[in-house]
Amino acid sequence: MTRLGMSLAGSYLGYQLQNLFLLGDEGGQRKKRVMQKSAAKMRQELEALKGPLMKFGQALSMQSHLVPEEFLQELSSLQMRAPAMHPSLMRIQFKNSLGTYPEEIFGSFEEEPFAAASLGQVHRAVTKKGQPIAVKIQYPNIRKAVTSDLNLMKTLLLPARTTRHVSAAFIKELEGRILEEIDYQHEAENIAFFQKAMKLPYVELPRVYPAYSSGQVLTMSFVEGEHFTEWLKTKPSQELRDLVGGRLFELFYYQVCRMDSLHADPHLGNYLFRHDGSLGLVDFGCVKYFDAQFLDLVRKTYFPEAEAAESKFKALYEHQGIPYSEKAREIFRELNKLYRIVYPTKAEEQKRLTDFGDPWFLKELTRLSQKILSNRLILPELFFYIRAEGGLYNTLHQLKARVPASDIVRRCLLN
Amino acid sequence: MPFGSFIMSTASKKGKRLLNKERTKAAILKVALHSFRSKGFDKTTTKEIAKRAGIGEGTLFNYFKTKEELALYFFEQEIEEAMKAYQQDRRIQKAPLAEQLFFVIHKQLEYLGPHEDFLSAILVQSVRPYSKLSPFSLESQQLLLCYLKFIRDILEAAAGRGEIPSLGEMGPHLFWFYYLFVLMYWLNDRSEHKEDSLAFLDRSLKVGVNIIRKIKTQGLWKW
Repeated sequence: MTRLGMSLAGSYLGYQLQNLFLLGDEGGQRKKRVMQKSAAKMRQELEALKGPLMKFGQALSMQSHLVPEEFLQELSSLQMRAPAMHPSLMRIQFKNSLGTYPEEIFGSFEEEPFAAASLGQVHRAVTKKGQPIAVKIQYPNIRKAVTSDLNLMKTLLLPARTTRHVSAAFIKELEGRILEEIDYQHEAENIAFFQKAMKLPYVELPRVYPAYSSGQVLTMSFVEGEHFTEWLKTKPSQELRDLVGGRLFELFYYQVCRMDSLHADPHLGNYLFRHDGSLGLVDFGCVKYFDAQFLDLVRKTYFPEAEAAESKFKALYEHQGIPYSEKAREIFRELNKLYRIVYPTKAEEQKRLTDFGDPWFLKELTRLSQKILSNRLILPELFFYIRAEGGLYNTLHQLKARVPASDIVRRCLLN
Repeated sequence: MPFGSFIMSTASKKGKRLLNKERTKAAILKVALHSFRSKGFDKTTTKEIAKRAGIGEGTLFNYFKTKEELALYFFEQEIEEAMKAYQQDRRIQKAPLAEQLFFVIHKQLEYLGPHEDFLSAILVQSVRPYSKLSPFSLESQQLLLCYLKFIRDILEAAAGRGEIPSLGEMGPHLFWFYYLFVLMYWLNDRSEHKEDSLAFLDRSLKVGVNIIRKIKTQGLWKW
């Protein structure tokens, strides 16, 4: 019985399967639109994984041709939640990490969390100097549970690796991203990097309080704003939607063009919206730092001269030491179609607004993205890039924003 | 001296004596646990304990005739500390059942924490026939009764709130078996801060309470 208990506690998958008993009572699960019965079943199966392992499942299903285009939008919006901690457990976790209880170091601390995180939960608090803060606390045993499940996943995927449905490099890349999320100190470093490197005046980033942070507790300044659904209820004007959409678009390309990195978790839960059109950016657990040369080659594909377009893309594969085959050429063709929809190359069309609210547009984007991401020969680095980009476009679609995409990308490239 | 104040005086003297007795017992226990940690339970003698405590062996025997009685007192304190913490915490008394039970067990484990090696030695003692530490001894049963009553009150309060069905007399016993299982798990847990045990305790209690609740909802509850 002890061994059964140990395996039950040691498996993050085990936690999530148990959620079948719990989430209905706790009422914590988000209801999503279901496009087809089979899509709902797929989503439920992946959702049962939750946490970082769900990212693995999302990414793998995109890679292994299991996902029809209707599912891609559902998959990209799946959000991951750790088990909820009641105050008794939360206080023990806090004390084990920082050696003291929250009420001993903060002016005030709310024992009920105000938000869930993929590996824990977030509490509102105020420092003794009166500064509002957010304290993220990790669920116990997460590191061991995720590591054990990653090993299990890798073993289960051996046949797929043998048949080359999934590459070893791809799995290694995914694993690296997931393991980084477990360490909140790594997230603190990511925030510090963004604080230093991101100079967009309309984006607020949190500040870390290192004295109240550790590998399992992250204390940050409180970033105000509403989540997307609440903000939409205030019925923002088309003008405001366009402004916010343009800023989200610029935020993405600013990172790619100036920071050689990406805030890589592309879902709406990581943005906070304000009525003046400014944005808050939260959750830096998953930041992708690209090879500068690789990203330079990616940028060269944005506005290539027609005849040089493919050679720019081919250079990406040569840089990674991977042969440029017919499969890779397929990726180029689809990517080219995708980008020409989003931002045209012709100078006279530079100011043209891309209407992300157009349903045809999203369907076409989804179809192309799915085709690209499910190609076995997609580079792992490119996978994260396109996934993040797809998440952005999905967000802009929900925003129904009209964005001068070409203009923004050109400005980012020039500066 | 008026009779009333004589009674009060006698009562307060008796109360003071009891308090002093408890304080002395606690002081002896503290010293004994220190010896058990450094020398082990089997190798520590009552003579050594008395010497460390600065009392005569005869005085020690007035409080604890054997090391086993000391061990029983240790477990009595474990339960008392958990009960006291629960009774002093107004928030936990209004919390959901799963958190209440988590709180109680964690307080017990927190008390036991510094004395893991001692516990392992006790377990060996407890399987010896005629040992007072055997779960079947009258002394152990008396200690257990107190604990079971405490747990029964928590479970009945939860039933009164409609959180679970009434579990009758079986509920506290089931919980006791569950606690022993958790204790074994915890003793084998080598993770930092015993995180494995924390996670296991949290999840298993939540799932357990929900199973009981669902059984009630589905009308399968027949105790």
